[in-house]
Amino acid sequence: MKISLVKKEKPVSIRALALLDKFESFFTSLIAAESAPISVPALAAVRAGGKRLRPLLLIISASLGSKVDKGKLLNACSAVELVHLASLVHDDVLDGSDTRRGVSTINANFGQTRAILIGDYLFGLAFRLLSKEGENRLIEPLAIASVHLSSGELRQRQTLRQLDQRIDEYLGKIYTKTAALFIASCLIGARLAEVDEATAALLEDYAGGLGMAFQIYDDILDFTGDANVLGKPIGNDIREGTVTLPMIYALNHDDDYLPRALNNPTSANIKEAVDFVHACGAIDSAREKAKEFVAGAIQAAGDLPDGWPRRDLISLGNFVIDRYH
Amino acid sequence: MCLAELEVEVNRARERFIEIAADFQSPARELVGEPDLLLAKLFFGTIMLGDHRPRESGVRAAVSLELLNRALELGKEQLKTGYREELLLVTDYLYAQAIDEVIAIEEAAVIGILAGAIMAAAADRMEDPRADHRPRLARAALDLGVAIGQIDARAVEMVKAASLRLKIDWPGLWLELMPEGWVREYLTISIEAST
Repeated sequence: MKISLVKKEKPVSIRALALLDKFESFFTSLIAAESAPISVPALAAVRAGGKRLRPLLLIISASLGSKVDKGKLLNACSAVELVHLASLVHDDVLDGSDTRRGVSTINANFGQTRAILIGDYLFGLAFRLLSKEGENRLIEPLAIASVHLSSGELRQRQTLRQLDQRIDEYLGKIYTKTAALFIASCLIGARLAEVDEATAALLEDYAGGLGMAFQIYDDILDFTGDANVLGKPIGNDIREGTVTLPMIYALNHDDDYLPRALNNPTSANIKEAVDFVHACGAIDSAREKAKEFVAGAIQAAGDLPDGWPRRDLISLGNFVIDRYH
Repeated sequence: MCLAELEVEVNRARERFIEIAADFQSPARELVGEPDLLLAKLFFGTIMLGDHRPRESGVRAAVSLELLNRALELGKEQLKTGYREELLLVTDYLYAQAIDEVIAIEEAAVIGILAGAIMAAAADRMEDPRADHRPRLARAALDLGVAIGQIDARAVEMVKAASLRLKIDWPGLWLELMPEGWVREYLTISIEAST
């Protein structure tokens, strides 16, 4: 299995990493226990790696409580990661992606039909797993996040190649696409920990800010990252017609590069558009926006009760900035 | 405890389905269509075996079943005609809406039954893309009726036996395991009308 960035660079405490390791083993066993038509493709996707940020957020949030049932914790972590995994499996079908994190996707190896059905199955598994804990309050945040996720995807596809998107529209989309599941992860952790409402609200603010920043940085990486590390070529969002924050800032300048590349995504057009996005300062503007969100997140975390979970959340926020500056 | 009462509940489910669907995002709003209500009938028929009337939670459970049915019907269309982005996005949307619809019931077991139906239908289609999802949802309808209704122990056993038999005997013989009486007759007529 590929080692996640979080485990490699360790921005959080050993306690959090140890629990994350326990989750990783549990999650792998959970998937492996399914029948072969599900487990074989799904395990390949799991073993391709991933930051496991959502389970990590859940673990840290839950650790604000004094005594959390480990079984419930592992099931809850698995549920949020399953919803995330299901969305990635379907995303790869929607994007026609052959690889993710350098590994062949389920649709590439087994076909679109199987990938769609596996995504459906994993989605159902997430909720069945959580329902076994018998606590509706743990399921509710994930249900809300799932509505956001699916709603966000619908909206994203409807706004492909739309050149007049506003920043608030983009932020609305990335809230549904990324922040919502971060929030659900922290809220489920908060409910496991039985923290008070004020603490839960701080966690919600933290997760929302971190999620927004994370997605903005991800969108920036599409212009600045290493294609070998990303597992996809630079400028892929342009190719797919997904208008992201760097592009919105760049489109404010009077130029033709982006409209041309979005409407006719040849390699030459994409390269010119990428170069322009860099040259016009759009990347820096997007970074500043992301930093604002992280700053808000860290401020929220700063008001949490003292202890290693609070320190870990702040450290994670700084890690997101440092890693993606 | 009568047919008129059951049909009132089924109609309430229909009205709620139409009401929430009107607020769905496009193109889910356009593709979700109208519910065929067979599952609502199976669910409320099971509830009617007891004296408890769950009202709002019953309507939500019925609507959730109908949403899942539409999601799976759209999924089936996709398997027949080939992958279409719109259908994949809308089925995902409807699955999420179906789960969200029953959160207000605050019964984790309800979510478990619906989630189990999603998993079972997906697994069936992996084996056979033409697999009919209705037995799985019909089973979920009966199981939900037992979970939400307050049915006497004997009737519960009969419904559970029928539920287990559903996958093998759809649309027919499992009905003979249901308690005799007007409910069984009503369900038989409803299934015959829809198949």
